[in-house]
Amino acid sequence: MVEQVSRLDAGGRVDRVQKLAFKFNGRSYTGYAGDTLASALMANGVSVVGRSFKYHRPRGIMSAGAEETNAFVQILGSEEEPNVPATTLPLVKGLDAHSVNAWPSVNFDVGRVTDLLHRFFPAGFYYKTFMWPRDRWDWYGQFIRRVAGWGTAPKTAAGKRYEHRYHHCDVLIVGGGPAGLAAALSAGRSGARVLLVDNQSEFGGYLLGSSAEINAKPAMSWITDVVAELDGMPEVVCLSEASATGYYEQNFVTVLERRPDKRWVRERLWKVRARQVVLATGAIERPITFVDNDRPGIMLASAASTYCLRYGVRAGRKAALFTNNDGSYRHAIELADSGVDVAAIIDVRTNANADLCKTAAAKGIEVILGSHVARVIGKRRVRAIEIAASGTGAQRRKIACDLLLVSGGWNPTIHLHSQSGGKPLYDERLATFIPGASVQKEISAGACTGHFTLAQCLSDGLLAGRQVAESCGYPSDTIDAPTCTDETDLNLQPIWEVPLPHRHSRAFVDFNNDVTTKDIRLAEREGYRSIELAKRYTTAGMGLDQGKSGNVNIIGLMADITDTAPGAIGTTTYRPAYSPVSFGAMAGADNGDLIIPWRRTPITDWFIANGGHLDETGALFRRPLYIAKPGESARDAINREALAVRNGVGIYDGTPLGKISIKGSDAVTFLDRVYTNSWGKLPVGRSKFGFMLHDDGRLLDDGVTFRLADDHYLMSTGSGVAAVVLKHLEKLLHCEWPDLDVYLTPVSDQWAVICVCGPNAREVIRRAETDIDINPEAFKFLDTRYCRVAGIDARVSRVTYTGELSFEFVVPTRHGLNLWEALLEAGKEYDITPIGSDTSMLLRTEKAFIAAGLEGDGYANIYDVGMGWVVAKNKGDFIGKRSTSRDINLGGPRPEIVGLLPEDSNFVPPKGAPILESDTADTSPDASRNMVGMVTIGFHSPNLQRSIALAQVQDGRSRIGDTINVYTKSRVVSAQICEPVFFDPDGERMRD
Amino acid sequence: MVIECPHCGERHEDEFVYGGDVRHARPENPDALSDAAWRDYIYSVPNTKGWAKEHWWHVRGCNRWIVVQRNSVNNELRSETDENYHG
Repeated sequence: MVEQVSRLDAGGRVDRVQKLAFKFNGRSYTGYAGDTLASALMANGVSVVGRSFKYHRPRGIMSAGAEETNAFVQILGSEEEPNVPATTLPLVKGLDAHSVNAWPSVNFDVGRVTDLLHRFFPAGFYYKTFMWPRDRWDWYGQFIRRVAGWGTAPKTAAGKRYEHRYHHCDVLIVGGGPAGLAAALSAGRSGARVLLVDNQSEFGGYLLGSSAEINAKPAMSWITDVVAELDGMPEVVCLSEASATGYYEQNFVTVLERRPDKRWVRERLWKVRARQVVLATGAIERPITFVDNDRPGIMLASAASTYCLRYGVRAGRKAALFTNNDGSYRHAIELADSGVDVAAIIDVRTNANADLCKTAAAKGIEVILGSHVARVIGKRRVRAIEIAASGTGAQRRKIACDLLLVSGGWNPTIHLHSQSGGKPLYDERLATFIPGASVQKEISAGACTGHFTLAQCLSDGLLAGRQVAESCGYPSDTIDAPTCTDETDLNLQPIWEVPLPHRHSRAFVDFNNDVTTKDIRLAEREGYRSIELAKRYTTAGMGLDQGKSGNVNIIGLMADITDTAPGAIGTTTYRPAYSPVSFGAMAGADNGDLIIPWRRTPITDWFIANGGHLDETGALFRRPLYIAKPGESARDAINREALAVRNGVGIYDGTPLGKISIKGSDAVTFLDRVYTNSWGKLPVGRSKFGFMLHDDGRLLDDGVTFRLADDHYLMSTGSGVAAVVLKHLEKLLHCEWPDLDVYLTPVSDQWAVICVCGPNAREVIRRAETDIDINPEAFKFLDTRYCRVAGIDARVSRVTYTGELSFEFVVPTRHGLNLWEALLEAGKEYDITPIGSDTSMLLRTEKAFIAAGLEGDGYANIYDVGMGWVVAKNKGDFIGKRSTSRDINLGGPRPEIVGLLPEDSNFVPPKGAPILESDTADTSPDASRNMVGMVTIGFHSPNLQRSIALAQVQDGRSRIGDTINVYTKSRVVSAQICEPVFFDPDGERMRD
Repeated sequence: MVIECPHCGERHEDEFVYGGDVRHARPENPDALSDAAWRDYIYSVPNTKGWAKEHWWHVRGCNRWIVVQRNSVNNELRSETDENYHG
C-alpha cells in the first residue's frame, strides 16, 4: 500500500517524524502528528468521507475548520463520541472512527435510493406524507428514525474526565488569529488580566495555512514571537483547543476546552466572567450555490490552501477555482506555488483585479471571466466540470479537474456578537452580515467585522486590546502595527444561485441537512417567507454545522426569490452553542453518585444494612418505604409493620421532618398570623397542631409547633416543604412585617427525630430508662419535656402521625444512631418493629391525617380537607383567611375529603383514580370528563382487613353513604362514601 | 447572573432565590376588601416587560431579602437595595 499518496514532499506544520496509525471505516492508515483526521484522510487520498443526511449522497471534506458540513465521524472505542467534525479532530495514535449516516458503507449506501427518488422528498414531506392516518405517526416514526439521523449515542457512560472551571478576568479575547493575538498583546502589555481562547490546536488562525508575511518574514514567526511574549505575562492565560460556545448576559461566556491528550481531564467547561470581551472570531468562506455543488472534490478555496500549507497535503491533482471575488485568487496561486496543477479560474465577474489576473496567468492558470460552472462530472469524485459564459448558458466548455475550489465571499463569524444581544447589519459591499452596535461590554475586531486584510486585522486587534484594557483601568501605550503583505479588497459580486441547467438539477444551500434551492422556493411558495419559518420548514441551517457556511446563501436566495434585499430578510437568531458541547462537559463532575447529593439521616446506613427498601421521598432524602425481612414482599412487610404499630410497638426515623426555630418577643403574634389557629395560650412545655395556608387560601403545610421557652418555639414542617415554608415565613418577616421581633433558624439537619409508637411504647421507654415521669397523668398528649433517655440528653414529645401512643425523641444528629440502637435493644422483648414511610402513610390514612400535598391541590381549601376545626373563629387576620372567606362567598361545589370503602375489599383504589357517579354508564377513557372527584390515596389496611381510600369528592361531606364508581384502566369498582377516619375516630389511643 | 447584594457584594445567582415582583404592601385589613379587590391583589401580578423591581432572597449568603431592579428583557440589573419597600 502506498502511504499518504497525496502528502506533499515537504512543507506544512505536521511532524513528519511522528507517524500515527489510525483507522477509518475499518481500514488502516497513517498520518502525522499535527494532522487532523480530515487532513490525514486527504493525505491518504480518501475522498468520500460520509453520506448526506436525507439523500445519502457521497460527500467529501468541504472545509478545514468548525464550519465543516460534510465530514462528521463517530469516534469508536472507550471514548466513543458521535458527530465529530473530522476537520477539528486532532489525529491521535490509534484513533478509530467511522462515517456517520452510511449503511452498510460509505461507498455502497442503500439509503442512496432516496437520492434517485428525490422528487418525492421535498421540504416538508414528513408533515405532508405521514399525517394520515393521524394515529400512525409513531408507526412511521420507527422507519424514519432508522433512515434519518447521524451518529449513534454511546452505550456506555462517558466516564469522569469532565470538569467545570470558573474564571474571572478583565479581558476575554475570543480567537487567536492575527486580530486576537494583536488584541492580547496590547491588552496583556497593559497589565490587565487576560484570557485568550482559540478553537484550533495552535494559535495563528488562518495564518497557519497562509503564505502571508509580517515584517517581511513568514507570518508564523510573528505569531510565534507574540505567543512567547504572552506566555511570559503572569496575568495572561492562553488556551488553545478551546471554543467559546455561548455568550450570555453580563459578559458571561462559556468556553469548551478539549484535552484529548490528558489522562485526568478530557473536556473542561470554563465559565468565564469578563469585564470586557474582544471578539476576534474571524470569518468563514461561503460556498457557491450551483448544480451538484456537493460532490466530493469540491472544497472551499481557503480550505485547500490550509491543507496545502498547514498540513502539507494536496487536496487534488488538478484544480480549478470558481469564484466571485479577488480574495480567492490568492488561494489558487498558493496552490500553484505548492506544485498543484491549477487549470483555470472561473470568475462570474468581468472586472477581476488586473494584477491578480496577470499573476495567475504567469503561474499558468487560465483566467476565464464572466463564466460559471454549469455542470459537475463525477459522482464520487469530481472528474471534470463544464463551464458556460454567464447569460448565454449555451456555450459550454469542459475542463478536467479533480478539485474544484469555490469561493462565494466571506461571512464574518458574528455568532457570539449576536448571542450577546447585538443585531447584525447587512453590508452591501461584502454582501454579508457584520456586527451591529455592541449591547454588552464587547467589541469585535478583525475579519469578524468584515475587515479582511491582514493589515486591518492587526491594527484592529491592537486598538481593541488597548481600548478594553484601558476601560478596565489599565492604560498603555500604542503599539505600532507591523507591516505586512499587501492584500486586495474582495471586490465581490454576490451570486446566490448559479442558473441550473435542468429542472431536476439540484443545488445545495445546506449540505448537512440536504436542503436545495428548490426546497427554499417551495417554502416561499407555500407561504413560509419569514426566514425563521423557511428555516424550520426546510431545516436549512438546522444541521450539525448550524449553517455556519451556508446560512447567508439561504438568506440571499430568499431575497432573490422575493425580490427584496438580504438586509430586509435579516438573519435567523444565533443561539448557543456555536459548536457542539458534549453532555459530559455540561454535566462536569455531576456524574454518577454526584448527580444528586442525597441527604442522609443518622439511620440511613442502618436501614441499608437491615433490609430497608430505600426510595426517593422528596427534599433529596432517600428513606425506607418499608424494612423487609429476607424473602418478604413489600406488601407483607408493610402489613407486618402496620400491625405491629397498632398492636405492639414500632419505631420510626422522623429525622427528615423540617424544623424551624422561632425566637423573639413577637413570636406569638407571628404564629397567629401565619397559622390559622391561635397561639397566645400555649404554655411552655406544650405543643399544638397548626395549619398554614398560602395567601391565596391553598394549603401550604401542617405540623406541630412546640413552645420550648417563653420566647422560643420550634415549628415542625413536612419534609418536602421545609424549604418552601422557610421561604414563605422569611419573606413575610422581611418584606411584610419587618417591625416584628422574630428570628427564624432552620435546624432540620441539626436534630435527629426518633419516634416510638404503639400500645407498648411506654414500656419500651421505661426499659430504655428515662429520668422523667412518663405516666399518663404526668406526661400528657402534646406535652414536651427535656429528659435523659438511654443515657442521652433528649427532648421527648407526645406527638404522633400514626394515631398511637407515641414518644418522639429529638437528639443532636450525631447521637441519632446511638438512641435508635438503644431503643431497639430496649424494645426487643416487645418485638419493636422499625417501620418505613409507606407504612407510616398507611397508618395516617387509617386515621385520615391530612397530607397537604396529597389531599390538597391547587383548589382545595382548609374546610374542604376537613380541617375547619383548626381555624380560630375569634382572631384577627391571618395569611389565607381572606381567600378562604372569598371561596365561601363564591359558593359552588367544593372538593371535599371523604373516605371510600370499595365494594371489593381487595381492590386498592390507586392514587389519582377518577371518581364518577355510579349511574354514569360511559366506561370509555373519555368518561373522566364527567368525574366528580379523585382518589388521593388508597391502601390495603391490615388492621381493618380491607381496602380503604381517601378521596376528594364534590360536596362529599353531604354524601356520606352514597355509592360512587372508581375508574382504573382495567376495571370500574363501586365504593361507598364514608366518614374519612377509619380507625379510632375519637383519638383515644394517641391520648392514652 | 451576578447580583450585587448590598451586604455581601457581587454574588452568583445560585446563592439567591427569586421572590417575585415587588408589589403593594399586603392590605392592612383584608376583610375590608371586596372579593374582587382581594382577587386582584392575589392574582394580578404585574409581569412587566422591561425594568421591574423584584424581591430576591440571599438565602445562601446573608439571608436578607433584597430588592433588585431587573430588566426582564436582557437580565440587566441595577440598584440592589436592602429596603423592603413596596412599589
